[in-house]
Amino acid sequence: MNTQEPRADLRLATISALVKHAAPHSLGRTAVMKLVYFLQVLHKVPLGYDFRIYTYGPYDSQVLEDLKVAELKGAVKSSTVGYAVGTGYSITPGSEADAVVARSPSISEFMPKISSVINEFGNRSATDLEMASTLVFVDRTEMSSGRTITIADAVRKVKEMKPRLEPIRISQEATSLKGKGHIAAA
Amino acid sequence: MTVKTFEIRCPVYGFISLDPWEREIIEQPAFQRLRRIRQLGWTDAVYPGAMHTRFEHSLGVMHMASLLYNGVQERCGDILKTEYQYDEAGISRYRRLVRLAALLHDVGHGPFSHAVEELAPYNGDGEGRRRRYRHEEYSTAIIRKHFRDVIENHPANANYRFTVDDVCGLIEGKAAAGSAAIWQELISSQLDADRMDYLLRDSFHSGVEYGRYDWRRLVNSVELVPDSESDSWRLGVSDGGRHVAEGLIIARYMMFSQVYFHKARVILDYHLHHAVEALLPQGVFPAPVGDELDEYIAWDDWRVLGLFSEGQGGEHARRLKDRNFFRLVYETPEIPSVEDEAQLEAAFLCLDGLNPVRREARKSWYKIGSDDLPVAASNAGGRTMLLSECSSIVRQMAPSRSVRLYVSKEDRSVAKQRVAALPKERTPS
Repeated sequence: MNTQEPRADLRLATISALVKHAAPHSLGRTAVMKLVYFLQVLHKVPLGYDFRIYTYGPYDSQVLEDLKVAELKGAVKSSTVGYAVGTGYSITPGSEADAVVARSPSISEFMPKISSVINEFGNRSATDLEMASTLVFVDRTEMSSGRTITIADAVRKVKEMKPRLEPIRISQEATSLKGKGHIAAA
Repeated sequence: MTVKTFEIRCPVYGFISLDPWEREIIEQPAFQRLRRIRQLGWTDAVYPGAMHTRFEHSLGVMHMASLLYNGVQERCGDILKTEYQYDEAGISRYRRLVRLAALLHDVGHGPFSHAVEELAPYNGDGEGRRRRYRHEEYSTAIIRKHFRDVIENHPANANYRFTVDDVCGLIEGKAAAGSAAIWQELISSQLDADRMDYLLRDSFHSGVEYGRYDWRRLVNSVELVPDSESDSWRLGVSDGGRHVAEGLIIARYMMFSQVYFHKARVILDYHLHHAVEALLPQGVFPAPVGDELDEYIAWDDWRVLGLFSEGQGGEHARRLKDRNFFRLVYETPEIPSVEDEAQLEAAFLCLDGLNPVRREARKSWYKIGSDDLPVAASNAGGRTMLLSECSSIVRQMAPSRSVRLYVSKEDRSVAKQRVAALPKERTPS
């Protein structure tokens, strides 16, 4: 990353590029949050967000602030859509997406990573993304504390936070993430 | 056996109750230090009553967190029991954990609270972040070092077997919190106890009404709401509570616009930052690691004021003491247009030679506006709504991106003349 580049420009460009790469599929807020998380944590894109864990997975309200700024600049469009239990957002590319992306000198360096994240996670449901990102968060937290955990420990922790998920489903996700080298749990 | 409780007078809630364990925690020197950390920095230079401290705020956050917890437990006990497998002991255990995390969340604040937190050293964690240590990181380091014994080895903990990592997990937002994660939003979210307390308390002490909202109604409206996009429960409000939730957001906006971003307070923070910077070795606080942590704890308002009183802190300390702070000569609207931003640059250039100081008011109330609060369906089987969807007021709240230019009081007249000579100028009154 160009060290002189304002981090805000890279964040806006990244979010705009994510939404554009995902098209024609629209992304929800949860998807944008988790895809940004994967970019920062799995692909080391220096976005500088500070994620905390909630029952709905890793979250930093700054991502939504940046998403709103991207919307104000015309890089993305946002509309409400109905889900089974409530209302959410559908985020699609805006007319100024290319201009906002072009404003970041270093975004081209990260485009392959953005494509990779979209290819791997772009079509996953919000529930799947929450589950996968929570597993990664749990794994990284334990690693940064100098502890190692087993897949079973990671599954148990995620189950505690997200009781509606079936353990077998969490376990399958953990095994998949492990196979791709995204988590270190043994 | 009845556990003795202690009551402390609180100007906001009347009384705050503590049990003997909590009282022992409060008596620790690292907690008593908060009596010597003002909540709002140098704000008393604008609002003379704003002399309150992090000590009373911390008690208030614990009290508010308890009220919110009890409210959720009363209204959503079935969810806690069936989905999170809570029994009565579990409910008691997590109430205690939430109280401890709320009580201790601010023990890491440095002198004058947020005013000089940009003097923390840089930290990197290998995940694309290179940023300054946050006061929460000082808090958890202090808890792990100075509250370990009083938490882990206290007789009352025999019922809970808490470790300091359990408490810190909630403050840090780490997965170590495990099944306590459901309570994370009471500690840090758009509806957290910290925010709910500081608006009321700062408003009270500043002598303004802007931060007031119907907190009793809000406490009675908070509940677990199904997230609209996934299989999660979130802290939200009942349908009947959405207007008081709006009230909280408006109160926050008003407090930022009238108190926290007051034109004089913003520049007083600038002087305080540079005055304290002049006191610190290498211009930064010690890091929250190893022996440096205790060096950090030794910094409080008393020490800084003592050094100012001895003549240290340079020009900026003198300006604070004499209330000779820089004066506002130009400001953009709260939501500047492209033309406003161009005019700002023209104003900045026209002040060449007068050493103008640019201050931005970007850390705003808007996080609430963009971070939608779930509102429970009004009808059985109905769908969760988002507050921004229900509320046209919230929907219209755009981020504040105000920028102001200041010069020394001595140069104010010259600066104003130059700004006035600009075409399409916008000058402060």
